[in-house]
Amino acid sequence: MIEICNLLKRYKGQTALDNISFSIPKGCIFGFLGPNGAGKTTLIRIIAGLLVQDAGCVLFDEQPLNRLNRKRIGYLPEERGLYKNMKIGEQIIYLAVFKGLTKQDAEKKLRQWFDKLEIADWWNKKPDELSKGMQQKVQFIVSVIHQPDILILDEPLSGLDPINRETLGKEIVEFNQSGKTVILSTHDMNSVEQFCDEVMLINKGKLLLSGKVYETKQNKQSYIYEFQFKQNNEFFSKQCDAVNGYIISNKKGNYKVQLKNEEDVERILSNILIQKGLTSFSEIHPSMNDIFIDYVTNANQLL
Amino acid sequence: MNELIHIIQREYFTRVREKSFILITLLAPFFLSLILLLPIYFSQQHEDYKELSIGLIDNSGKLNESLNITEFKVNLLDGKWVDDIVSLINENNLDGVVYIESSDFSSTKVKYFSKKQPSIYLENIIRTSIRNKLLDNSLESFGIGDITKKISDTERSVFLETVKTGDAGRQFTPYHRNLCLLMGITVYLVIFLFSSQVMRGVLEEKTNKIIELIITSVSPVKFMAGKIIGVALLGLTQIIGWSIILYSIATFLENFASMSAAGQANGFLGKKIDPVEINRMLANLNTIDFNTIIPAFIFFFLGGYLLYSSIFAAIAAVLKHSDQMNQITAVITMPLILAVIVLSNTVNSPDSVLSYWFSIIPFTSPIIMMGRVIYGVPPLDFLISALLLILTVFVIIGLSGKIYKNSILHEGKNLTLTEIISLLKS
Repeated sequence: MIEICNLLKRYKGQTALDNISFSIPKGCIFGFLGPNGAGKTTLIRIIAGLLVQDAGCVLFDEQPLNRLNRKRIGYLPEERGLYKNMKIGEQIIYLAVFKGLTKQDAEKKLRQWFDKLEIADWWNKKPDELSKGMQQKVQFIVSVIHQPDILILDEPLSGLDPINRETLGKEIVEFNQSGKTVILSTHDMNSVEQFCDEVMLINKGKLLLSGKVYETKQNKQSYIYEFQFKQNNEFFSKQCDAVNGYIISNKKGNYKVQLKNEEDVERILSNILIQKGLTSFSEIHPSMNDIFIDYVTNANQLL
Repeated sequence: MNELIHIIQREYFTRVREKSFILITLLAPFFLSLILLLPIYFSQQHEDYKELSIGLIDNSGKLNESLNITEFKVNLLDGKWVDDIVSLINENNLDGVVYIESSDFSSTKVKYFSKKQPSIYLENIIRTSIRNKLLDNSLESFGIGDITKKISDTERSVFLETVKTGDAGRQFTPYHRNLCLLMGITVYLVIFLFSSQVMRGVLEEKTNKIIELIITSVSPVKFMAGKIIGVALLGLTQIIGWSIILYSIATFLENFASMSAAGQANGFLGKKIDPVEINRMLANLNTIDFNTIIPAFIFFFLGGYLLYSSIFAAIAAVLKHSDQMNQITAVITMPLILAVIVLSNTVNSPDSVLSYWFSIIPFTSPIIMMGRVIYGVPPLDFLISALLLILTVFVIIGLSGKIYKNSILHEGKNLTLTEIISLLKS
């Protein structure tokens, strides 16, 4: 649905985006990952139409971005705020009209959202009367009220308490399940694991990886395995030593082991299967957190 | 177009409902009327002196009779120096005692004892009446008595009225001077007030990132234009509000003066005011050509406001924090402040070279030309000034729009001046 091809953006001699290409399929939750200053915000701003790229293109259903199809985008910027001197209801309607809704439509939709989130009494309040989490809910409504096809969220869950996190998280998933695409830019790897179907990772303007979360994890083999025995197993420990494996932890027969390659695993398995007492065996895939740190550290070492 | 109206509506209605706006609209004309009326009120205060009763003790022997002062009586008391002046005042129920200590050719020493601190006005009356009396007495000894009466009988007052020949013989009163100062300063205030509202608005949107939401669907220049127009309408609302209230106050005073003349009014602030004074003030106001002044005021407000608000909008877009705002505002409004200083020259000589040039240069013309308009200006001067202002407004709006568009999303360190100039070239 969104095709990003050979995107290039420079600021005063610095390259913010260096020839980036990837695609965001329709209907998925797509994570934008990368350390601070990697170029995520620049990329988001180009997609939202706030910045113009120096080269390359952003295609939206095979059409270049223009003022019309940009109204199909919903956007929640980072470190956002609200108008201090306007009532909550008024300012959401004000912003919704820019996205092509009529005042009447915007008001009707807003009432539905307020009822859904059980915040009907906020209509006449001013932002100062709301907590940060409450304001974040309001800003989320602003970004989805015109039912965009693509929703861009920059750190939508940062600074929220677990309950508000849960509520907003549910709304994001629900929005996605109605067939809409969500772009999620975040540093929080837990939310990546929780929400994202696909991710891309950039560092210093360069694309390090892009693809499905599941496949990314599969591709990144760690050779860490978990063996569960009924009790401590001396024979197993000896087998590990024999292949120069390293026992990371052992909790009453639950062993986590770092091995060197797949042959070592097969050898240990064939030896200990003769013995009884092995109740489970599994390979531990790296978390998105591990993948993030690994890729970025390697990329920085190469520079 | 719909988007532009949508923006203008928000900028206008959120501000017009603010308590501070309503208060300033309602109260400013009343303060202005007070400024005009209080001098009249205070001039009536001298009537109090008629009820004063003041005693005189003459130790020098040069006067030896009661002073005839029109405002109040000063009776000669018996005796020379009294030890206990306080009990003398209390026993005779006096307001004060004038004590002439000594008097020779060159100087006379006088002391005034009173329960209350005397006003400078009262001190003056006492001093001049003693001086006149002594002068009278000594002239009498030369055979020319009652000199002060003779002088006042022969004195002829001269009233100087200035009439500008090039201007269909219009007359000028001190009211023109006051109005010149007042209108000049008011134009300065409204330009500054509403331009800085634009600046604060831009800065708020930049800080709370709402600008990012808006310019995903509206062009930044259209948004800036909507904001500036919305606040301009707010300014016009205030000016119209002020005019209506001032007109009502003037009408009320006119009625009050005629009622007062018929003996029906009970006075103003508990004191009687001479209706003649109010009528004189109103008559003076009538010599002023409001049909020209009000449209000129609106024109120069709009011109100056558009000029400065677009500069302010561009600067707010470049700035990162509101604390830098005050410093830069001070620098940018320098020409306005300079104009207010030049205004004191314009008040006295509206056609001087200084006033002329300041009324032509667009950054100061809204204030100085406004001041000159009160006295009437040659049509050519006005035309040059107005055209130059309009032209500059268009150029500045164009430049400011460019800076605004390119820097409103800027984050990180502040842009340097060379970077801003390169924005203009891009």
